[in-house]
Amino acid sequence: MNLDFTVDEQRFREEVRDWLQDNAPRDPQPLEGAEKRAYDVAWQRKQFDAGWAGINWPKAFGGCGMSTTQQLIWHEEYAKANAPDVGSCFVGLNHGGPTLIARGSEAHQAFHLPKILRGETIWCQGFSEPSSGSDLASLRTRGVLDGDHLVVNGQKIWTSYAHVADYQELLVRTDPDVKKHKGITWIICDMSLPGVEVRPIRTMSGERHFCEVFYDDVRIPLDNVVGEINGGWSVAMSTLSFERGTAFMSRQIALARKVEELIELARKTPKGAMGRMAIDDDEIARKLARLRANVAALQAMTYAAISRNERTGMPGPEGSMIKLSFADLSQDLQRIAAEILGPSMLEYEYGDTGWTHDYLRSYLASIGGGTSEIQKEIIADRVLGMPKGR
Amino acid sequence: MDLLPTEEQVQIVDSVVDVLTTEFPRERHRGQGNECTEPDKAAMQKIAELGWYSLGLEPELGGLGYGLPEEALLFTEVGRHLGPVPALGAVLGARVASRGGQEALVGSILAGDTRVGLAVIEDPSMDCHRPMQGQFRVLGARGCDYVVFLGRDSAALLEITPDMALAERGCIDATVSLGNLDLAGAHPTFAVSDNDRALYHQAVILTSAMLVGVGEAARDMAVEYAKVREQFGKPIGAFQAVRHPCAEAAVRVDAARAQLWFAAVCADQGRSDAGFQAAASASLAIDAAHRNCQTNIQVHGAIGGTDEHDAHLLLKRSHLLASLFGNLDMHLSDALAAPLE
Repeated sequence: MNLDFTVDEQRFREEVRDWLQDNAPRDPQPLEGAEKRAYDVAWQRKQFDAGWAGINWPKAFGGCGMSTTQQLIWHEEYAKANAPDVGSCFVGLNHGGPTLIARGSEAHQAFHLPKILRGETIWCQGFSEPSSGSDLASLRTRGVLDGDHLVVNGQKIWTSYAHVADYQELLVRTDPDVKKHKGITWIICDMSLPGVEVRPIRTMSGERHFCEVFYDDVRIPLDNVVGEINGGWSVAMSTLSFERGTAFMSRQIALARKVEELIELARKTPKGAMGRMAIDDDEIARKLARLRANVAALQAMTYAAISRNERTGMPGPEGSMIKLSFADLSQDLQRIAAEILGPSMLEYEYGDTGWTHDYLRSYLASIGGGTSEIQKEIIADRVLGMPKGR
Repeated sequence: MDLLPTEEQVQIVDSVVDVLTTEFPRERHRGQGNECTEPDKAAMQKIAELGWYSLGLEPELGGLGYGLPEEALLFTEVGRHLGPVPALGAVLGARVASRGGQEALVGSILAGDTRVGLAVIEDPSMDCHRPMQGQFRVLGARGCDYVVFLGRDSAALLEITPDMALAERGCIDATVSLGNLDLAGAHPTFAVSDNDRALYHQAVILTSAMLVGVGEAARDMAVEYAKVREQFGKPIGAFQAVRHPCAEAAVRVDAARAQLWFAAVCADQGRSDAGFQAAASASLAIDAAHRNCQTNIQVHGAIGGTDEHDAHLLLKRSHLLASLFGNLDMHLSDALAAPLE
């Protein structure tokens, strides 16, 4: 039980800190669309040129091959430098790329991986459908074999960045006559193919980052299949465990930062009688204290998870605990912010950034990437070994 | 960086669990009504001989030279098994005596010959150098020779003399003897300053450790029952209305345990954020223990609310521990005010 970093790790921390301080973009990240894509890929390219692309990717595939501890250090310094969220590069770097590394052919890897690392291509995820949310395996978008192509018809939804993406990791039903997990195929869909139509959906905070995607006789070459035909479920699962693992670290460290900003806000926001500030309200102070303590514990949980990962080489099911806590605490934070701000949070229009925007966005924290209810199911199954209810 | 217990630390835990399950099994408290089940002096001396009290003390002082992380692991097991609370009085008493340069007393406490009760501190800002005034509740009061007082910035040991009024009372947690000590300006036998709050942080962290043990025991008891109790033709653990509260209990206590370990290392190294980490640890541990004990009783249904089952013992222990050094509100105030690293 120790919190000591080795001399090499400390040196690494200094190197990372120096580079991020000098190079992290200072101008604000656009909220959506082509502007956001341009901003995100420029930042990714800058990291690539300096040798910092793909921190969690093996060296053999052009990544940095960092240990989990080094990734932690990177994310800690990344958050301290106030570097921008990975944004539209998220799926390529944390889903698509890692899946190709784990399960793709040499041709897939050679073609796609360098482009993702260099920030030349944006990926999106075609998993959820209007009738298949938490029950993802019930998905119905059809893929029918026709010679050396798969012909795709159907609809996906909640696909972040589909309107600016070049490629999609797409799950389609290739065999409707077997058990639902057994008839799914994972395929790379070129978003510029004829028959692909994207309709962005505006969220309650105003921006359009997720979309509906419609497929009308889209012909995708069979060469794009990753893994086996009908073997897509296991391919998809390898990306999900990745998302709940280390990919989550920097957002979490950013949350700790945000807590301190909120405490600062409470110190300078008047509330109640003349001269009193929000932090003088016992109820608010208690909520802030609980939040600060709980966010510290979330970091401690992450340290424990990293330690386990370093010992066993595997992300464990505790990723679901961290995801669940993160969602709860992000929402706690935003609700306290709304309470502190009072009527001043009413001034808001689409396109604004700041506390009200983040408050409205926080409602999706317990839904995206697997709902909090699904995380509890995973914990009940895999951590506690409870009898299956489904 | 590795926050998980080392192999050696796991061995310490294993040996502690071995002693608790053979010498102090949780079942010994079951169905005893109001009868106090606190171990007697001879039983406590066995613990002393095994080195529980000296575990974290420096070898020069007769200790085994481990640190707060090992002590935290030990007291987590004490909490989980509803083990003897006076062990904490002995550990803290020996530490205060060693700070006060009372070598003979340290030796006698470590051997289990001198027994130290634990004063329940309602106001941690108390100055232990001053004469003590008013009523104090003492845990492990039965047969204690000294009482240890631990404030935020000072600590004291008070020798109990026959002229002092230490009246035994029933305790909500009948596994512990509780006494009321009425003091009218008694001078502490000796007092020490705790400028870096190392003693206070140790007290808060070891109390948190017991709470984490209680919270884990409650989680496990609930989950095990949910696997075997059947209604509507299947185990109740197959229903989301039961699964989800169990999952929430698991997350709460997992967070509290990680924070406990983190806080123990920070305090052990004297890091500048040790105060924050300890306060956060106490807040999380109190919350996890209380709420997991509630969940446990609810999952059990009516049997969970009886004296014949162990669920109430855990709940009562969680209340006892939550009020040892200040209370949840005070820990939260510290967690908001204390500096981060």
